[in-house]
Amino acid sequence: MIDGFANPALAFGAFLAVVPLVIHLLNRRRHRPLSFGAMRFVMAAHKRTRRRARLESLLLLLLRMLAVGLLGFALARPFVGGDSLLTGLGERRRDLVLMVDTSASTDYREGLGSVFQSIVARARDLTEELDESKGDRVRLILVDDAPRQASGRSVREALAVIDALEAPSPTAADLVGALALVTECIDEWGTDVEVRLLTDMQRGTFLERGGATDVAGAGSSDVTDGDDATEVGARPRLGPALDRLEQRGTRLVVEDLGSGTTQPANAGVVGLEVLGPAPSIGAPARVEVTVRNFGPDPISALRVALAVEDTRLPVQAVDIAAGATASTTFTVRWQASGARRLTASIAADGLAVDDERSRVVEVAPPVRVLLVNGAPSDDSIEFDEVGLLAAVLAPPAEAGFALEGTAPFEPRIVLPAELEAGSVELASADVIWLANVSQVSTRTIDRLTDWVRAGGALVFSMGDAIAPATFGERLFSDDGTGLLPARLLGARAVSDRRREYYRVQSFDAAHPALRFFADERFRRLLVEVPIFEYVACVPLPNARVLIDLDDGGAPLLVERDFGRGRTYLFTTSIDPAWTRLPQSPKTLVPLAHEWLRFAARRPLPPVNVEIGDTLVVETDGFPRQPVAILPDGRRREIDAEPVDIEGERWSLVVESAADVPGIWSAEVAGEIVAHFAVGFDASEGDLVRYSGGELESVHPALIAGRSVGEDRAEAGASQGASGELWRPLIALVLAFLVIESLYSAFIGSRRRGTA
Amino acid sequence: MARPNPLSASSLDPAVLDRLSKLSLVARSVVEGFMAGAHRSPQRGASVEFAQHREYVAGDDPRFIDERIFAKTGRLVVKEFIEETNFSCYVAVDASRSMDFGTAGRTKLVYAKWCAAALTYLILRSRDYAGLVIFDEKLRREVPPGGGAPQALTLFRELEATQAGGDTHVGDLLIGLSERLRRRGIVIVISDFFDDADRIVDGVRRLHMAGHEPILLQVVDPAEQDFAFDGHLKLEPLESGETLKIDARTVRDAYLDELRKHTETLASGCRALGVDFVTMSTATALDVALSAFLSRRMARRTKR
Repeated sequence: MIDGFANPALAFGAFLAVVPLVIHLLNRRRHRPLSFGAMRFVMAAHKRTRRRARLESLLLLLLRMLAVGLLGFALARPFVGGDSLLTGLGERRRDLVLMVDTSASTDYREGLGSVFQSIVARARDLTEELDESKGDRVRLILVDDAPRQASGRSVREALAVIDALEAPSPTAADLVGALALVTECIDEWGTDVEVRLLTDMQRGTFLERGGATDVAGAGSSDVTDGDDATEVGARPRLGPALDRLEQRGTRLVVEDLGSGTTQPANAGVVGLEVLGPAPSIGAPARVEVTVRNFGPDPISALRVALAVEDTRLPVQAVDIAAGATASTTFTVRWQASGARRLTASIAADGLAVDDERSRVVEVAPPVRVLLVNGAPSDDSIEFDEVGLLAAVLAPPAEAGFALEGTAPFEPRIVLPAELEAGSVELASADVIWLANVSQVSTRTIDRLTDWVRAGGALVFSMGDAIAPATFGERLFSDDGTGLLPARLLGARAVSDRRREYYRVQSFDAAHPALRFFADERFRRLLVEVPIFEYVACVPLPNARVLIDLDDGGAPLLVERDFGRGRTYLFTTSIDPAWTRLPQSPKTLVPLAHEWLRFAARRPLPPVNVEIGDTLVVETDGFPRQPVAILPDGRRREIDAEPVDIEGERWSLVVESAADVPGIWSAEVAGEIVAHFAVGFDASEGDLVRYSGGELESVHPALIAGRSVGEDRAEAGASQGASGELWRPLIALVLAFLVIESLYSAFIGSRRRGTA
Repeated sequence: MARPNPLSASSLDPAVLDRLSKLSLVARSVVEGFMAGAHRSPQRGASVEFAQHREYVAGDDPRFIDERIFAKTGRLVVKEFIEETNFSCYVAVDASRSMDFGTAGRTKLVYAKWCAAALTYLILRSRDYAGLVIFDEKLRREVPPGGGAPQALTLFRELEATQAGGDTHVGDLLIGLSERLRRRGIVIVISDFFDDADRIVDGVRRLHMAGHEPILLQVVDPAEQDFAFDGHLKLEPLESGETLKIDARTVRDAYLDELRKHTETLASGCRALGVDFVTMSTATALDVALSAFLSRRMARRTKR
């Protein structure tokens, strides 16, 4: 009889009908005791009046209960369906769920206005058609990558939200998530809910995310609720979501408010990468900008620009065929270390959001390497423990080996005694290499331990000066508190250097320090180097063997994370005493460079993130007055709790902060401390659209929208047949109250009359 | 050691007594039975005031033969005189539990005791005899009629010692009194008369037939008269009976109707017997109530 309630929670108000009954019962319980003498008359009077009084009381109670109960019922605003006996009393009303596509693609402009503006205007028109006084309800769902219910049920609230919509989201639409919200709404409101999606009909909205599977391929026949776990790409399929809608007797009316063409012209920057080795100051680097033509026609001489920091490089022009991708390369010289901002852009077109893409590049400063020379020699660098290594890191300019640009390494050689004396400032080094250092005092070990924990990289290389058993006593601990990543066992050497030697058996080609040798052309440079002697060891469980030898897989290079830093054990010498490696520049140069560059790289939070990702800002001191500066220059206070991390550094984690693509900056106490590049889903630039017919063939629950009346007729379930009953109910309440008042007055007057 | 003044018992308000003493001066000359020496007994007998002549019959006292008529006419005629005696009055006070109710600052029993004390005071000051009966469902105490200060002291002590108890059976009590009281006189019954009205009227009739002159003084509380309660009440009977939960407004009309019927039955029964029936509210000052009663009685006697 009753199909549902506009305010279901208030339906419990009907239970207030028991209030008069409770009051009545409480009053009956609360009889005032009175000792009385003339009981014979009271008894007689009671016998005479008992039945009539009970009847009158019952009638009054019934009237009051009906009035209160119906009032509570009316406040819940019940409505009836078309086949209800009470239909005649009901007022016709509409329940509308309005899905507003606010994905980035709706920012497409054709002429003066954007698709987004058309969608907003249409949403306003549809909402204004509703009459709240009749009980019409509307729920607004904004559809982007994080669909959300923007208004509950009030028409006024929905209009306020629509008026506040200024720009689309820079993200793609998650239609599956939005349909889940619609299903919840239908379950809450009951059937007869009209569901309408205002969209640009971008094909990608109806395709599986992460794949090109059309939702029609999913079909409803092979879909059950349990299929939700089945994913193409990263998201659940759209088919089951539409099935659930259909199971509830509702269909989705999709209104096309997009461009007039099936494939609007659009080009976008889909990639911005720095090619080659990690960038360093002064060294030229190649920056590749990839552009895609999403339109149906080729684009000739598309102007591509790249800005480094605030400097624009000369514009390049590229030709791109229809639906093709083209790349162009810019050469960039980094003038300073630190986070460098790159922004690639193309000439403006209909969709502005993908015409620009940014990236932050960390240009590493020269790596400061402190070489502690355990076996110095004045004769030749070949006899010096670190002579060749130092030359590899910083080739003497007069020898003609100087690297182009700023030297990537700044080696400094000290003696163990200087290290022990404490005269060496550890904080001024990124890497400390203890080369064939026979002894390290406890005090120095403590200093080194603190330094590594704070992010430093410590390398131990072996040699004749080291007695493995005693050397490991202070530096190794089974519980992992020691600096050595492996227990030293003893030196192992080939018996005859002329005939035998050890070679590298395998190495971790995926490790950044060894990636150079992953290339088959260079692999032999590492695996063919003779090694005559090494110190056998047993790595700690959490240590990684990066290189092992063909002597039963004995480790040659062991790496272990230690606090925020790393420690390395190179089990042979870095001078030619135990191996030919130092005498093989083709091996030593890439190995030392890549390894030490990686070792010196402190773990930093990601600076190139996607929209919606978390931003992490690390500072050297306590972050006072942290502010995020958005790409458009707006400032937003960072409301995050600073976390103290090792090395007297602080971290600010700002959840889901990146909501606008472009370069973001973090400012602490008035100084910029970090830059971030927030990326944009390039697929949103593909504006290929469904036609109405194509859409309806995708899934039976989809209806291509026409006029509202026709849509409702076709949708069937959205006839607005539901009628509200609150007005008749209020009239009934008034009637009961009047009758109750009159009856009470009648009883009162009769009593007064007889008195 | 000073002797206690028997006429200033604590059960009697001195102010009331003072006003009543003035009242008695007015009432003395007109109210039979209340005023000392002024009461003419309905009995004829030897006295100083001539009443009538009648033929001598055997057994008459020869001292009352009128010798002058016998000398003139030779007929034996005796003289009859109006009997002037010390009048006896019983004051019967209902001390049942229903009398232990009061909302006007005093209970009905207290009011009844005041009333009884005032009346006995007036009677004894008139040098008549006054007796006392305390009753509930049965006769609890009886003080035979007597006169003088000692009697007053006795009566006041009895009144003062009287506590409420027992149920009301006024009708049966009156019937019992009609058989028990040998000395005829006025019997003033002070009660709420919350008993079977017909039974009470029957008792009054028997008293009257026995040669007594009953006077019924009904003492009621204002709350019993108008039942001006509100809300739900749990009425607990002062006498035996069951507790009753009622809505006061609902039963009020019927209650007043029942009370009115009961009072009318008593009043009409008394009227038929020529017996005074007076209702006094405890909210009314005692002297006002008594003077009103005495005034009405005086007026009625004057008409006779």
